[in-house]
Amino acid sequence: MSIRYSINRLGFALGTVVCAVSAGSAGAAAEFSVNNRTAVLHNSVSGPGAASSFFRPGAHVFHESDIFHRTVLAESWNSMLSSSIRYTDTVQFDPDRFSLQKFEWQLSDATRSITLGDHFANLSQYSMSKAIKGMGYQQQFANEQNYVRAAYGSFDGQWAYLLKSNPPLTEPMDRHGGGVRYQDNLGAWTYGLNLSTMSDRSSDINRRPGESAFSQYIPAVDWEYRDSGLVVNAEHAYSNTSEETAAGILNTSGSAHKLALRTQAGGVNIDSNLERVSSDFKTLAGGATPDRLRGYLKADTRIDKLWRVFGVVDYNHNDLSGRTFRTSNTTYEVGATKKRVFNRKSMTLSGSYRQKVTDVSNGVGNRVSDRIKIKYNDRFAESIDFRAEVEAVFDRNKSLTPPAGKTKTADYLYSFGLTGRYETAKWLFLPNFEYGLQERENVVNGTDVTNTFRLGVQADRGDGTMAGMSYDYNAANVVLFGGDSRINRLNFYWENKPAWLPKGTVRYEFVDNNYTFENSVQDYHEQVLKMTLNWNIDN
Amino acid sequence: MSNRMQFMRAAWFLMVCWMTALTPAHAAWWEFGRNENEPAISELKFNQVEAARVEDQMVIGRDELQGGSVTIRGRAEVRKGEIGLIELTFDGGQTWVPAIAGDRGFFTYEFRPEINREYLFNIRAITTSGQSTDLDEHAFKLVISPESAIDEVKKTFSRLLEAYQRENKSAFMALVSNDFEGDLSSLEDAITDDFRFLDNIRIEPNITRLAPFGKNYDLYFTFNRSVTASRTGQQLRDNAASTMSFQRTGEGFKLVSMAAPLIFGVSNTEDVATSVTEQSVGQNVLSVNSSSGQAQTATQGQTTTGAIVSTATLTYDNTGLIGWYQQNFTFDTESVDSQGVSGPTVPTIGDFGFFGDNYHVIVSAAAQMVIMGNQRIEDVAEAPAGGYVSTYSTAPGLRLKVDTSARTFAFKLPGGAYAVVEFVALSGRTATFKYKYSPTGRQF
Repeated sequence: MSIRYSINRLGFALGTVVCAVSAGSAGAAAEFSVNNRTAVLHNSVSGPGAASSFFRPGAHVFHESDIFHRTVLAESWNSMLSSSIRYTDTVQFDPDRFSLQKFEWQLSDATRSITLGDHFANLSQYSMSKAIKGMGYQQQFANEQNYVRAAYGSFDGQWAYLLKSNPPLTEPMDRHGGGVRYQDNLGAWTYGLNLSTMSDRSSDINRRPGESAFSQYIPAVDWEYRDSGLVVNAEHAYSNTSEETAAGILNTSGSAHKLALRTQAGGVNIDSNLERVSSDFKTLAGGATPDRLRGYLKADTRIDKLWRVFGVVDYNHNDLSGRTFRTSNTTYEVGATKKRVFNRKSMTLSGSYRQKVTDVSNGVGNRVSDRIKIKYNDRFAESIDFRAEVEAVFDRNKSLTPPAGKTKTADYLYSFGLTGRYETAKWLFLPNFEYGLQERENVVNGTDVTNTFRLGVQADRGDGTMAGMSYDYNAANVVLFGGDSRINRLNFYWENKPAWLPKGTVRYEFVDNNYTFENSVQDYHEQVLKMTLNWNIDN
Repeated sequence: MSNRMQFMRAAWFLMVCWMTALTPAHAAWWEFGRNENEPAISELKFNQVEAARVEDQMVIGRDELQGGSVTIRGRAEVRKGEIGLIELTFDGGQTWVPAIAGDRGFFTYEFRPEINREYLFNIRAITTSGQSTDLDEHAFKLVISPESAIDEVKKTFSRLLEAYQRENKSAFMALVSNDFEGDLSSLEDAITDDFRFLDNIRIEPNITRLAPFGKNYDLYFTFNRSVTASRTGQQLRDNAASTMSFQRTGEGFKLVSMAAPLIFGVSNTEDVATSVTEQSVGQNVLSVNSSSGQAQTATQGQTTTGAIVSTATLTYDNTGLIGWYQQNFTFDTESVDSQGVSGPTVPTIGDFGFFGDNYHVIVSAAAQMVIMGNQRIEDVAEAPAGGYVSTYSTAPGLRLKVDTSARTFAFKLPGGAYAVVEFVALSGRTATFKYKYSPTGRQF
């Protein structure tokens, strides 16, 4: 029997159990709600480049329901069911017309919990930190810091992959896995023991040509020491991986270690970490960047009530297996912030300098990037916030391999923004304005210039009635011949809580996007008219 | 000072901190520099949210309240003396209320806030000798948002998309957490490069799931994307599924990690993404080379470093019916063909062949190749631009031989395709190699 049909049967059985539980608990105090979002929209797309639009012309519908049910069962067990379903008639939102987005059923008492369906299997970063479709169990001991938890299931990202006999073509090869974690808290110390395992179904018809099928197990230990503002935590993991390829099976093993420290020493906040992940460490259910040695240290302190300074050193390199090309990155950054500049209560100035050096060994080349950034924030007339930011980045690239040579580029970024707040007897108005200019030197010959402009206002009556409009303009003038473009976007909306829709809102929205290009055959124009109902049912 | 020296200094500092942390807890040696009579708030949490380093404002969603309440937990300490009183204020210091003190300076206070109201929070610890904590240290505005945490995460995601599509880097980076799990400075550089090499960025996402996961909120989504490659003017489109995580900070939710395929920072996927969304493995997704500025779509591999890495085997032997034969490999069909030979021979079928006696790699007449030393294939994001040789020769200068210092080769193939091969095992007259193939250019 295939796994899919087994899971189909499991799903049916689960559904039966859930219905039975729900029916059986009808007399008990239960909480039930269905939150619905229904959108009806009309798209129109025109112009010679209309094929570039994502929008499907014509009228469409999109609906989502979030179903929630909670009740108390016998002997203080709580049941919580949470599910989401979706319907749409356009692939603009989903390739499926009807789809199950989420199904999670949790049974819990004071110390135990069982989850079926969607479950976050959270053991440790390296061993397993993954959303699965399957089951999870946790048994708590003295308190929430002491427990054992276990999880097992499929790594499928969509329910359609498990439940449909003709799943979407995007379905990946079946992957299953799980693990167990034991955590113990001993006052300032906490430690966790983890073991995870996973495997691909190599015979799955969804396995792509040339795709490796993996199976692996990862034991990991993590610990934390926490006292007086000092937090030190670490994890040590070992992976044993079997990779089935067309040419046979490759077995590899690797290790990963991480140590992080966060504290306040003498008024200085310190964040630091060290990490070493060997080139053959693989984690298919956790997270790590293989072949990396990294050290990071950040310190910041407040010198007095007005001044704060910080410094960062960050270093990493790859090629831990000692092969030919090693790329190392070193970043240094220093900066300072001063509040109440010129005795202005809301005026804050900050500046920073950062240098990032990338070196490739064996004389392949290097890159040095210097960045200077200045920010200014202020408030005028008690209700107008102003911000300005200027940034300059200077890159120097040196290549020693053919074609050898040096290049230098400079980028400049200017950004200004205003936000306001005005109240009348009935309405609160929140206007905003932004302008940005970016100049990016092109290595070839010239500078790409982008201008962005935005003007908008939101109005809120405080009773659920809101309205707003915004206009965006983006102009790109680039060195590439024929590459210039202009984007104009206009948006209006109105939202309120009508009497005929208790506990709900209705929102009307109009969007007009106009894309024009130097090569006019690419031009296109989109208009969207949309009505969205948020309507809820509960007990 | 060399980079290595800098690194060793940081490592030494961390080790010293760590080793000393093993000493008894009350020593708190790291509290150097502070007056020994001056108390300090060393830990502060609002429900599950860390607040010890909040500076200006802290926002808590209505659904993050526990039974409508915020439980403030923390610890006050002094090196010499005793803590006598811990007080909190929610109106900027006009009125103070005492916290419930426990052992070793730990305290709690339960507070039932009003939704959508701003509180001017502060806390002070006073020793039995009358010394008080610095009142500027933990003074900030506390706001209980009328929105749920999930709605706030959706808004943050939408603001990130808006800033990115408008190519507003400062607005984008303001929504990224300092605790970003990839490399934060690499993300910032990658965003700069994205804006340099891509124009007319349009991303239409559909959220498939959003739920709390430990300290984070994980967002699962599918997306349609179109961009114009600013180097070539070519319009590129892709669609795939991806994941990102958000974390509550004092300034609201911020981006804390992303999985490949990336929708932000695509110019440096290797350093920005911390995992791969399996659902998208094998899909054609956008990739940008930050060195050349070339943008194209390429197959999402099983690691953050790029394309799918496959494995195959070639043999040179005389055990078949055709006598001595040399096996040749064709990248686009992933096929192995045997060719009857009487020594190393230029392949008549296939892109390259393997001569097992001397471990020579022999390129076809229509292709070229270059030695890349010992690079791991996973680290090769781009085939070299130049240095390729066309024909096989037994002349010493042109022998492309697999040995301990040269196990990785790049191939320039007809029609603008490229491939890279890393030999991982040589046994008898048989070679096992990993390879990746790009039909559209040098990037993998």
